[in-house]
Amino acid sequence: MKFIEFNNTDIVYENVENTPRTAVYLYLSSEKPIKEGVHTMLGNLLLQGTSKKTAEEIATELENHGIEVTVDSRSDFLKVSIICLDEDLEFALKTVNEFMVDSTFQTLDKEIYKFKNETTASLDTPSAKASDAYYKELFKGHKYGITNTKILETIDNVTIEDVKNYLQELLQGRKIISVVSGIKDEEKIFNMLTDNLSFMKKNNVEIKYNPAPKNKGSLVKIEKNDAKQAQIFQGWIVDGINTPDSAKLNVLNSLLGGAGLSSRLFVELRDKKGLAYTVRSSYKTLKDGAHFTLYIGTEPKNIKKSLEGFKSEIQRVIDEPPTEEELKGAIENFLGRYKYFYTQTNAQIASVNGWNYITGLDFEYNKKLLEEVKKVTKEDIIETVKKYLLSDPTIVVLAPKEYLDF
Amino acid sequence: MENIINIEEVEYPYLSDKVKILTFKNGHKLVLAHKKSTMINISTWVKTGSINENDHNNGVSHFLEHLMFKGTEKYKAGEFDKTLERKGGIINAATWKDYTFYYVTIPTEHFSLALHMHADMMTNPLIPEVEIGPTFDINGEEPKEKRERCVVIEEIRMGQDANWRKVYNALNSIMYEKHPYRRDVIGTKEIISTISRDEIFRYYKSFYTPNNMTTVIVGDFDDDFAIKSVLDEFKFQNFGEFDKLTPDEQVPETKIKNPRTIENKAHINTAFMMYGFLANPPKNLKETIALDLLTTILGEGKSSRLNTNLIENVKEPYVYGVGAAHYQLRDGDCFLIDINFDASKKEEVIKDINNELDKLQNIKEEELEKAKKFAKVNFAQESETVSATGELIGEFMTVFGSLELAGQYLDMLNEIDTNYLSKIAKTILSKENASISILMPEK
Repeated sequence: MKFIEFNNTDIVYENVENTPRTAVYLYLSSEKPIKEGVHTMLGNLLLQGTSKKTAEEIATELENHGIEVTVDSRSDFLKVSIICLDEDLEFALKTVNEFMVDSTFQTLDKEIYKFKNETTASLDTPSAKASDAYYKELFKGHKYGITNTKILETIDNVTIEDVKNYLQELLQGRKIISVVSGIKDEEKIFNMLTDNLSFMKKNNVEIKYNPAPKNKGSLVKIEKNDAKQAQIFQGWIVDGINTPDSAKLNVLNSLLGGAGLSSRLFVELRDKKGLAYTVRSSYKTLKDGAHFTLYIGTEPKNIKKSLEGFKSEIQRVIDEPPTEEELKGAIENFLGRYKYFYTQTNAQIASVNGWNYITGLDFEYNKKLLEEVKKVTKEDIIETVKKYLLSDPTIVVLAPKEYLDF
Repeated sequence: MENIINIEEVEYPYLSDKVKILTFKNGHKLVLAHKKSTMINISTWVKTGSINENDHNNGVSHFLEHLMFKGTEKYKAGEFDKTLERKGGIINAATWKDYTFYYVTIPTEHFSLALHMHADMMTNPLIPEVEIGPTFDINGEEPKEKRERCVVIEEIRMGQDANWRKVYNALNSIMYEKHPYRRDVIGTKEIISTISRDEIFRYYKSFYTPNNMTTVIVGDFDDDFAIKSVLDEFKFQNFGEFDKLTPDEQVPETKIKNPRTIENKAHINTAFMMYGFLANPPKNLKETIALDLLTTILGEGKSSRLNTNLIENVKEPYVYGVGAAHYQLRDGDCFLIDINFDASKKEEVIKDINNELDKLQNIKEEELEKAKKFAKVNFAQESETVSATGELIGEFMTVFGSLELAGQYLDMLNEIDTNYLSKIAKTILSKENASISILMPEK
């Protein structure tokens, strides 16, 4: 991996031999607060037309070459990912440049209309409905609590000017081009990137952090009378990237419910009690916070039993802490899953490198995290549970009305 | 090695070395594919799924897949998962209409251990009664001991909350007259709650035979070591004489005999619709490629016809999401169009889709070129990880019946022109050939 400033542009590059597809990930961020819904609309509008081309023309050009371009616009950053055969790279970059510098955003009204309908449609899936309510409650008052249903409330206030201004903020913010390719000629690829993506020239911008505050816990019940399964989310806001607890929380997650078929929640609540098909924990880190979440989909009459199961498995980490073998297994599992999910494809690697830069981590962060993970002890795990998971959680339960009295 | 009766070598797109296919004396096949990676993927594909089920044991293939993880004589229940996941392995299995497959993707240094445990699980499962859990009346009192039987029932419940799954299952029930593809792979709560251990084990003995299995290894490994390990570790049991299960009649249905529409209701805000068409088996490579290309032209990506004409070029679209999919199935392909839309516009949506089907008989040269590029890129994408490569190889071996067809795929693409594509669209994807499943909101 190589980090270079080339033609006044920050580029992180990695060569992976014998890979036919190059991955280029552009990350852009702004530290200024934005109006609800603006980043969503920017993401939806960037491929919808420039002063010279319609949305259809842009899509056709890209797809005629089998080029995947995805725009992912979040409250923390804008990510434009390009994945294509090496032979199509230059064409892909030219097209991305066109829409990044010349989008007109004229179809905002239509995109708002589509967003409303798509959000309504997504709520027909019980797990999506419960998940939206969970994040809204867990991060209430913070940008991560602005879910699609929250955005719906004010989406009509978003204007073309808002979207244009936000894009300008991003172009003047922190930026990185992350590229992973089978193309060995560095000079050639750097020139191709900087010649075609001139809007990615660097700015010296300090990163600010606005950590999500811990909350006091709450319970939200959602009625869905024809649901065959109850959807239960339970979680806490915890420390995130670049904190001493991140490695410990990752190992705790592997031990408790993130390891696959052998973690404690899976064995106890699924294998031994037959309560669910899906039961898991997750530790998700974002730029300004992180959450540790337990999830189960279960027959509605098992809601109480499931919540008790969560409680007793958390307590059991303290009462029956992991043996040396179990702890070593949780660590190895994390390391293996890391390898599987973050190092196997050019796209995975480009995504990780770009994310590290845009969130202010150094490029060696993951290496260091993996080393920290290897050092986690039984005592660390107990301490982490006591620090985070014994406080009142945020709980969201979706089920038919008759089962919500618990 | 005297146990090997045949070795073939085939070209495979985007892999630098040829892929080896070995056939052992007992009929078990082994596929070796080299790919530089820090991880190795081992999978075994069994040529059985809901295709070999009937109305009394529907769901047994999938239930058995769960129970295969419940211990062997050497390793008690949970040991397989625990041991390999604690080495950083990703393990799981999946059941489909034509196959069931089990896989491990693990850091390469644990290849030997993973292969040993995987082979032991495939050939020596105990399927213990205590892990299955007692039979019970699904409409009566629930059992005191809730074990894997209840886990599968929870999985069925999960599917009942999934709108697309409901629409797809209803479509299958009207597309096929007799073929077992008409049933849902996961089965029913009534069958899963009552099926006995004996019935499950009889199914295992009938279909998990060496000549019905293909093991695929993808990664960075030594061929001789891999071959010797597979021969040593796959110790197939001899079950002697027993009353083998005979599957239902499997007469391929390659066209819907009686196209019709089914409509169901649910507590939802928007409506879901799926069009279904049947076609020839995928061993007819040219035709199956043509259907892949038509999938792209009609419903893949932002520039597809359906997305452009029903969403992007409409000022206030009443279609919220639309796409096309092509399932390759051993006894005949299935082509689907899925639409999520404003429930008050049902008639308009049907008219729109029918109109698009009519227009599909005219394919432009540039659309064909785009679809061909998509197909090439898809192959490149499928070769990016050891697990995706293993999965595609397994599918070609099991569903297409030959890995050579994977090698021929990209060459045959070049033989297809717009006339051929239009002919296939006219023959297979005409509106008169479609069955339609709709899920509407309760009023």
